[in-house]
Amino acid sequence: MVDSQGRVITHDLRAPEDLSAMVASCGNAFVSIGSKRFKYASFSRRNNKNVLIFPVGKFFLGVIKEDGVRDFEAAEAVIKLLNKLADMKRSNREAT
Amino acid sequence: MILFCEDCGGKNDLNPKDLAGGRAVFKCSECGYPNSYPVDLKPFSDESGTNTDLFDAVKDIPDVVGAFVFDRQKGVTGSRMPDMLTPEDIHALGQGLADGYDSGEQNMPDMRTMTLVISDKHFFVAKREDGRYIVLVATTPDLSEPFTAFLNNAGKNASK
Repeated sequence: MVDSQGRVITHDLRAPEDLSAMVASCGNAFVSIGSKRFKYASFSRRNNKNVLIFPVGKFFLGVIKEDGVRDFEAAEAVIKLLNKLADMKRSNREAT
Repeated sequence: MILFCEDCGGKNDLNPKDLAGGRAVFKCSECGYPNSYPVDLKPFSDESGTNTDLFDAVKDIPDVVGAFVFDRQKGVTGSRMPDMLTPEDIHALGQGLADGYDSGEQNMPDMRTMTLVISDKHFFVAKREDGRYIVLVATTPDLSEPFTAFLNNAGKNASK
């Protein structure tokens, strides 16, 4: 996950800096096109390690997809997870 | 003919004969908003005369809303996008998509295509050998077979 300047917030990659600037740069470009309606973007690659980018508040989440999973299926799963996390955060805030 | 609601952005499939007088007057099938706006009934523009094959190739793909070709130097060189979008809108869209595509390509030289999802629209982008960007807009994410076939002729990394 990176901020709009490409600074890595958290990661699960060996070399997140390889992708961080690209995720932020593309994310900013897509927000300028779609504003809050930007759902995700995917980049198809010959090595099949497709990269997906999601807007998460003021941050961007970059995901490298496993081979054998279709991009939009992976994207829907990530969006579902993000929504679930947002709901949990909302519930915790209301409980306290 | 697909036209979009000015209020909710919903897709409405209208018969061209219902667009007499150069205005689209219809009630949105999704939100009921009474639309009334001028439309250009010209099916598509093709300044260079070289994009006809592109539009022929994609016109029968189900759920394709539109397509256009963008060139960084020349701007939009062919378009078959919904008439409610102005040339300036399509140019800005092409510019943004090209910027995103090139950022991706800079980090991933083996990149083949890019897909951007905004609301319920999927923007499929391929870059040709001549540097032009081909954009297909669809309401479905599942264009795999026809789009792959299309990329074999258009995308610069598709057949390598």
